[in-house]
Amino acid sequence: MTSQHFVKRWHIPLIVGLWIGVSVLAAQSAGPGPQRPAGQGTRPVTNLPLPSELPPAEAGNGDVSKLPSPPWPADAELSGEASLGRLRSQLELPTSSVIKAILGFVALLALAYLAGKPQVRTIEEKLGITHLVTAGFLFVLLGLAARHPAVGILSDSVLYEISPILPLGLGWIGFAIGFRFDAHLLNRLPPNTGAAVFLATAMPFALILGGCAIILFLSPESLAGQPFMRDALLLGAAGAMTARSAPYVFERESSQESVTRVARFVQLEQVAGILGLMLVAAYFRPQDVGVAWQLPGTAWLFITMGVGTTVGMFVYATLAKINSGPQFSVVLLGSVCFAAGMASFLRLSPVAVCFIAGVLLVNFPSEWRDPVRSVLERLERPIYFLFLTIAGALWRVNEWQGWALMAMFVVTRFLGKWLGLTLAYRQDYGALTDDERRSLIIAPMGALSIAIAMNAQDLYSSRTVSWIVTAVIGGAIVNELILQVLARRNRRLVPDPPVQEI
Amino acid sequence: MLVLLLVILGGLMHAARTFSPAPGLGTTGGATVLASGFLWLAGLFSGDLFKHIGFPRLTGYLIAGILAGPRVLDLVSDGMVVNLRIFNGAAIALIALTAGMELEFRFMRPLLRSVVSITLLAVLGTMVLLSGGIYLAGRFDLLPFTAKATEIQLIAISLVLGVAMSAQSPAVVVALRKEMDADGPLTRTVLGVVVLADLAVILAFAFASSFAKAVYGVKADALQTAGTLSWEILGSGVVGVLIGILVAAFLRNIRSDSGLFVVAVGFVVAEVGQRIQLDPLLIALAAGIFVRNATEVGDRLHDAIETASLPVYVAFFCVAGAAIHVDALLVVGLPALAFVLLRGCGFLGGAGVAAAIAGAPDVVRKYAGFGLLPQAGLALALALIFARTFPDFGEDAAALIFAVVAINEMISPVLYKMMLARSGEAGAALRS
Repeated sequence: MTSQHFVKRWHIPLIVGLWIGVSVLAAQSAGPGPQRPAGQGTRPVTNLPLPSELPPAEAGNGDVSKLPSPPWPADAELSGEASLGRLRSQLELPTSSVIKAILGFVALLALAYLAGKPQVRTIEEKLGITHLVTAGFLFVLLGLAARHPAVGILSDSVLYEISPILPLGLGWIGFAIGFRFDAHLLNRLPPNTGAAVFLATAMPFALILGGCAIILFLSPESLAGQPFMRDALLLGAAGAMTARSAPYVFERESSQESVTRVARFVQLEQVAGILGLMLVAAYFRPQDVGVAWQLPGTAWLFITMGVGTTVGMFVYATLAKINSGPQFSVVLLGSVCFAAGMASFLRLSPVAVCFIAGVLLVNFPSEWRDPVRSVLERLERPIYFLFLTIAGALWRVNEWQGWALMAMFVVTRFLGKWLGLTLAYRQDYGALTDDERRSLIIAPMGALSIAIAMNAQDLYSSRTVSWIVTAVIGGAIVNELILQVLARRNRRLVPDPPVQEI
Repeated sequence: MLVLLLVILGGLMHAARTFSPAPGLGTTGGATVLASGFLWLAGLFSGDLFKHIGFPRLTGYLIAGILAGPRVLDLVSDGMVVNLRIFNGAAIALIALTAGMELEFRFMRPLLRSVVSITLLAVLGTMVLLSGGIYLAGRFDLLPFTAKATEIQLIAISLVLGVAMSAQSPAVVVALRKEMDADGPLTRTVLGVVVLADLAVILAFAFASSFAKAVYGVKADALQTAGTLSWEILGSGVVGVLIGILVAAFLRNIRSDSGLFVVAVGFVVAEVGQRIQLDPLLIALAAGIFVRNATEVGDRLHDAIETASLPVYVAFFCVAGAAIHVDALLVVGLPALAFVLLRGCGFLGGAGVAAAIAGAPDVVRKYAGFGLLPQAGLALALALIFARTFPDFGEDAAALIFAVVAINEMISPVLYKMMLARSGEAGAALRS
């Protein structure tokens, strides 16, 4: 039996399943990290870096005594409302700082919203910007500036206060991606597309995982017990994503058939990325004191799917009852918040849970599908810009590990994409043409990778999250630069019309 | 179907809460998002359910909050409620903006006499009546927290609590007016009175509280109090007009996404205003009055608020319900009920007499008092200030106010809705 026949028999679901299995084994071999006795080294459930995790840069020339006041005591342990009050009082800032932070943050929100407007996108298209991270790089810089002590808009305490934005935005993105996933597309795929997607995602995933795991393993955090494999898995999942503008990267006048084929390919890659997130969240559980559910990783995987399905069914029933008028906005907002909040509260991935709910909603018959999709997509781009701002605020530009990871990330991603897609092309998987293969190899990274980095921030609180941010955002920009250089060399590579991925 | 959805929603929330049962742990970003989503959905279903059985939606929101709140089912913890108070400021600002928009001078001028008369007689009269009631209850040792008070101290406590208990709720009045699409002399008079009374209560509380501080030897400076009040009231008015100019300019020149803009303005006004000792309610009220009476974009602002305000309102009333100290009812339920009755008599009697003196229409004379009964945020805020100022006995006194507010919050919207329907003004806004 040839490999081609094998792939024909064991088509998409089982191949994806195989990948899940491999990832599960990788995750299990990494383990959930050292168990800590309750009360020792525990911390409040929050997403901010611990004072001990703050970088030396904030101390000013490495002087620890000049570290900014931590948002809570180093050995803080929230055990009740009294502790909450203590924490809140410690987060209190002078009035002028609070007002500055409020106005600054509202201005950032307004900028993100305006940047999502069609008029701004038209300007970006004229400039030849094809990728969201490049379009939103200004927001990364804004976040970086807003975090600076002299500006003081996105300080630790402000990041703590706005922490609900993370799960909400992640859930919104999950719903939006799920809403684009029409199950009928699986029926119309060319033969062996699943195998092609598997190769195109598994190869970069595996190479990034391997390369970045080495760097992470050698870092002091890993030696101190941080689960380095978790971060490597997240980087692998982020690197496997391709932008939805991929069909337009290579050919000036792509045929509609080609565009659709590549678009579906990218969509299946997103599913793989979300599966990766689901697995990481299930197998690398935060070790918080006071959490009542102590379950094995596989049980968490089932819980993720169960929560997504249950919430999806519930939202479906709700939208069937109320789907018009001013109440519609409350239902939609409440549904996204409930699903995302439930996921984040259970320390699962809001993107994955909401994706499942979104897939369910869009694949059941309904009259409200188009209005819901339109509202979800309208806010998707501003949310990404806001995430880039927060990513900028969390970015520790002076930490070499982030830059080393970025270099490794870019190289291994490119190699992995090349290897995977070339293999798929040679085996004639997915009926990819040579042009499509090349466009998928050099296409920018998908915006979902930003969500994956932010999901890491929502789930885990460690210094390494900042490195992931550096690697993903820096990697995306380097990728775009390479694309632009290649575009200048080869006229055929001019992305015309440059279509934004969101 | 609604009941089934509510039960499923409650079940899901309960299941999630068992994940992290320790109270302090329910305060992460995820917990806040979860609680807000839950309250939005539960509030909406409950509001619909209550509407089906003839009650105001508002009562449904409040009941959903009470049931889900930390004192009944504990589906939403104390920490979550604290985090969700971020909606309060924006909601109060939006409600005040709406109230300001309703105060159109050309329509209000004929009602001005009634408004002033009811404010003076019913509102100030009820303050005196309640203060007298508390004084008497204290004299006959019916209120444990006044047991150690001297005569002058008892008078001071009575005055402060009387003022706090007489506070009304523009939020409930505006929300019910919207829900019932009510318009007419009754609706406008009640709105004018509760807005004016809000100012009167703030002023009276400041003076009564200063008096009580002086009596108890707590540091108090009359000049400073006057300065603070002037800044709060006049400063809020000036800033409100500036905000009104900004909003009008936006609506005139940009137009798109005006709902989102108005909510953002409400949020900024609430969060920044309270930090510079301005009253967000007065700022937004002044802005609304300015936009309605000095510009031509009043209707556009009205539409913008209509489209964007429902999520904020639902969250606000659900959180208000969750914050109600239902447990206080068990301890001070009877005295609270007595004060609710006294307050009701004061408002109903006072409003009737004042409207008759002012020559107001029959409908105002009969029903205006019911519009003064609803109570919510201001009374709670004053109770908290009182508890903080007098830590020795303030908490017990605050519990009494909480109980009074809890009873009023559950009963008075229903009564006012019935009276709006009976007056014939319900649905008049749609008809016109």
